[in-house]
Amino acid sequence: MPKKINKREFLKSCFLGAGAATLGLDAMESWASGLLKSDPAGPADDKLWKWSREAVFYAPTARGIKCTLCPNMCNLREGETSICRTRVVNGGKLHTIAYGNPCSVHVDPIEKKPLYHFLPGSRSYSIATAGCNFACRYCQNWEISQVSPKDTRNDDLMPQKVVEEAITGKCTTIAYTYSEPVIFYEYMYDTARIARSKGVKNLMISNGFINEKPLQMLCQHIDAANIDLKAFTDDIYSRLCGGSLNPVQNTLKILKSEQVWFEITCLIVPGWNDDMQHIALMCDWLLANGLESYPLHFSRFHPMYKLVRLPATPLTTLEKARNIALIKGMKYVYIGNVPGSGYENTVCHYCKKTLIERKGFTIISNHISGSACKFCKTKIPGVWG
Amino acid sequence: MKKDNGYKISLFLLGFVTMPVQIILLREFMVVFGGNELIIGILLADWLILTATGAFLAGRFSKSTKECPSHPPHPPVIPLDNPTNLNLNLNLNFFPILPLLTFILLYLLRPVIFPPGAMVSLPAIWLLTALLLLPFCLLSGWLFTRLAGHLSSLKRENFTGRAYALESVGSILGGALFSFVLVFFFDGYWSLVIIALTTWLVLMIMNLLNNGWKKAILALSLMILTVASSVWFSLPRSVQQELFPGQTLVFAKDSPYGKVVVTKNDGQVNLFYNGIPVYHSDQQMQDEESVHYALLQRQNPEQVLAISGGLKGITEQILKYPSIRHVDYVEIDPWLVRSEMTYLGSVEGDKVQVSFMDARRFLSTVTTYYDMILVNLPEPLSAQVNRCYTYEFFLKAREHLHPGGVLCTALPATTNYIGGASMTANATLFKTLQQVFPNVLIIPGGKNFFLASDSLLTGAIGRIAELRGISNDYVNQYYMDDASIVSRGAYILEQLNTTSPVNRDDRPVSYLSQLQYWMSYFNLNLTWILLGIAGLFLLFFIMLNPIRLGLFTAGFVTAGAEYILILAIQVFFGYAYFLMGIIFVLFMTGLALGAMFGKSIFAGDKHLLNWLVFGTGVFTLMMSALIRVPGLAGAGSLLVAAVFSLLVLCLAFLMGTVFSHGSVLYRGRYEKVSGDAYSADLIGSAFGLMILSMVLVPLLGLRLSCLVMSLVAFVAAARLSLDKNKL
Repeated sequence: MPKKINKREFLKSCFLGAGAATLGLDAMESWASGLLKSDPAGPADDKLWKWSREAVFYAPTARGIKCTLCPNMCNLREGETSICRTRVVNGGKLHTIAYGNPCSVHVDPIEKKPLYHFLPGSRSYSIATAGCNFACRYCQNWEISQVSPKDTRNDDLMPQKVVEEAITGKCTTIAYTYSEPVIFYEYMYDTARIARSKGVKNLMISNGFINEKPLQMLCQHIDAANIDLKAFTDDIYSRLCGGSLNPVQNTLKILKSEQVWFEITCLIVPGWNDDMQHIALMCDWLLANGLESYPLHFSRFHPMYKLVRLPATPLTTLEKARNIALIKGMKYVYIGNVPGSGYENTVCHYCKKTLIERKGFTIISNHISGSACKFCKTKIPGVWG
Repeated sequence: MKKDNGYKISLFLLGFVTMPVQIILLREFMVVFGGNELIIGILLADWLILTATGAFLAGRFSKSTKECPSHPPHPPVIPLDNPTNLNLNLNLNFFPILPLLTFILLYLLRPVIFPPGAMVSLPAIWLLTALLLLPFCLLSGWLFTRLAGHLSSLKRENFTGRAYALESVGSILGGALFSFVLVFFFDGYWSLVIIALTTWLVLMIMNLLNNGWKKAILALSLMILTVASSVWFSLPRSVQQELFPGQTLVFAKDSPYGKVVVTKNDGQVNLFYNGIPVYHSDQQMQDEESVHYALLQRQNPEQVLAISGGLKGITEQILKYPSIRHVDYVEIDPWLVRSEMTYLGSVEGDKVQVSFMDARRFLSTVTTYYDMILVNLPEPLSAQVNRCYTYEFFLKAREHLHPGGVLCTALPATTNYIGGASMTANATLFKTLQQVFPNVLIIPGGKNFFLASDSLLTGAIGRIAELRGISNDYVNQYYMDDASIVSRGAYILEQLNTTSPVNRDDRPVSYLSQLQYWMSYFNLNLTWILLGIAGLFLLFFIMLNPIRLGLFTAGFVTAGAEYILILAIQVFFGYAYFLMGIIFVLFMTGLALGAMFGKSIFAGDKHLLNWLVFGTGVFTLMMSALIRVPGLAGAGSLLVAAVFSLLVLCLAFLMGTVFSHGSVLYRGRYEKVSGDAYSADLIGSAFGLMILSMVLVPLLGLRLSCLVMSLVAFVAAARLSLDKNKL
């Protein structure tokens, strides 16, 4: 039997047929935008500078050089720049131009990352260089993530100096954050190595879009991570952020196998990734891979950057997602960006008593004693000091 | 019915349909794509250029009329019911249906082509707008040329000027019908339907009088088909729903000021204004930031003025302070407040007074003094919003503040880094506030909040929130890391350029920097676009023949001067809907009168055109002298209104005369004459609007922009004088 369509669908079909000719618009838009781009990427601007180092992960190809750091696998000719805008081919070698030149340096509470099960109440010395291997439509740091380090005003802060500053500022951790730390891999790696030798811990706040080998190498020096799980289908990943799901799933598995503590953030954007079936599938996958003890943060979207014509995520949607996750068996599920919701407290997954009461970025009370619940003595997953 | 009357009525109908369609469709395009000065400029330019193209092509490719203005022995007359003219009649009948189809396509294509909820880049807006407007605008230009050509043939004289006048009279009626009547009772779509029905009714009667009953049936059929299909498909609600995927559209209202839409998703009520989400239920975080950063600064605030931001959310936060005695809440669009009260809940108690008025107008009319003035407007992306970010506005606000009072305004957040374009925008606002208030503090939060006062201000928000005992979910000692607020605020201040210009009423630099910031979202460079437009203008200016140059220049100067006048009126009086309507009627009346009678008043030979163009230059020169904003602001408002009305009327009259006289100078077939004249005028107008709104006014200010326009007119007049033999 033919499927019945309603009036609206009929009307839409008729007009879309008529308007199909305009679908070539995407191509035209790209063309027109190309003419007007102010992006200064080009040979003259991609020359090496003080803040360049030879990249660690790359391989020669027939075309030139292939960057093997992240799944974008940019295949570049001499003088070309990678998608993330931080890697250039010069003299037949791949170089990073994001080494020791952060454009953003701040001290934040660790809860802001968010990391709720890692040294709660501590302060984190946070740095970022320009560039990103994604192009999220809602990026709140788009002014640094969507440009090259050559376009930003940067500090001169080599790894040794970063660690010194963190120690001077009484920060117990250094967070590689804001834009995307994978794209300043060499800088992060060297800093983390020095920091760890001085007793400062390292946090990677990332989209998790990194290849296996670089990640495994990095895990030797990283203490904790927060990984964004932006959607649970490749299609949405691609249209919303310009990435894909599988590499991020791999990252989570590797972090677990390398015993690096991590938490997962899922920003729910209305009309994009708020399908509860997808949330359920995501939780199923997390459980199937033994990740139920790693905290999951559902975060509220607010209109930002290019996604300004959407409303904020309804609290009910976040609550539904949280309930699904809890029913599926996730042990620690939080809701972020909703002050006063009460979903920011840590509750023992066994006795259900409140262990850490949070108000904003402040710890009101902490009932975790020696990594265990003070009430029922159950071990609480995380790094507690 | 006399044949020439048929053409005259058709020309009248052309204006009657085109003007309201222009207003309505441009409003809808702005809802779908956003309404900053750049987009408005692109939309208007697309419209004018496409119409000009239609007019020009009709003049080039129509072979039906042959006539020279000098000696008309026996011109071929083609009456309305002639078979050759069947196309014209058909086109007139189908003309009013095109805007309805454009409307529907606009809403249906937007979510198909572009990602849901995403901003659309300027090149894409330009392309889609051009594609959608193409049929209607081309046909409208084509019809003008054909109708004016036929009328000239029938009258055996060049009737282009009077055709222009007739079209203008139609525009006055159509525009007034929409702006003063329809907009209050119908939404944009149904207003288009009513305009179409009226047109078909007139065409039907005309055809019946000419015994063309078959054509009358066509008009009747279109009337029935349009109404029936609109009702059957629940238009426009069914297509507007497409803009809100995942949400249920529960209310939509077109007010004179904009489009209010209420949607629901997962129990959350969302209120959109012109396509942008403005408030939703559960938005304590934004409401608290908008209110408490300012109110916490003083011990016992009593009188507060809140400009927009959401009545319920904002006033609930203000009323948390027991010392509050009175709150004035000002919103220009009553429907925003009505919708909010219906779907989000109303405010209780008698401490809150709501006024539906432009904020500047409000400040000019009240005598109240406030402890706090909270400005919760969108960023200054348009000249209209920019009026609440200028030195003059802040000066007026300070006059209404008690000693120690605080003004709070905001720009989009710069979170962890401040980029080049946002740095300029923030620096301009900071510098402007600094000219009025000795103390200015930036609090980085969900937005960059700018606090300004004549007394000291503090960034220790968490500490004073605790001291005052105000119970908040977000603006409290737990979320507010005072050290971080201070250091991040200081970081922003360090980055700001201290030599930034001050944003003034007569030199609104902020909206240019804000536009540059908006363009940086798409990695596009505004400078290249502006240089491209300026280059094209120069190309036209150099390449056009003398007559076209005269009309082009007059179109450029008139449209530019009209833009400046509207801006100046908004500065003096605040935005007032009816005032804008009256300005529009005055302008079109002046245009019609000039086109109809200008030629007989300014009797002269072919050299008159350069004098008329020279006259537009003198006029704009006078404008630059008259628009001395501070000087006129002191004058009585009646005098100011009279001066501006006279300026508008004179300007339009001059343009009408230029058109009428210029078209007489043409040689060739009547349709070519009409097409060339009309298109040159429209292209000039398109450049006038774009160059003035995007470049000259924000860069040079009102007065210098007038001087530049004068210069353009004088150079054009000089070129006309040198080329007088070619006239």
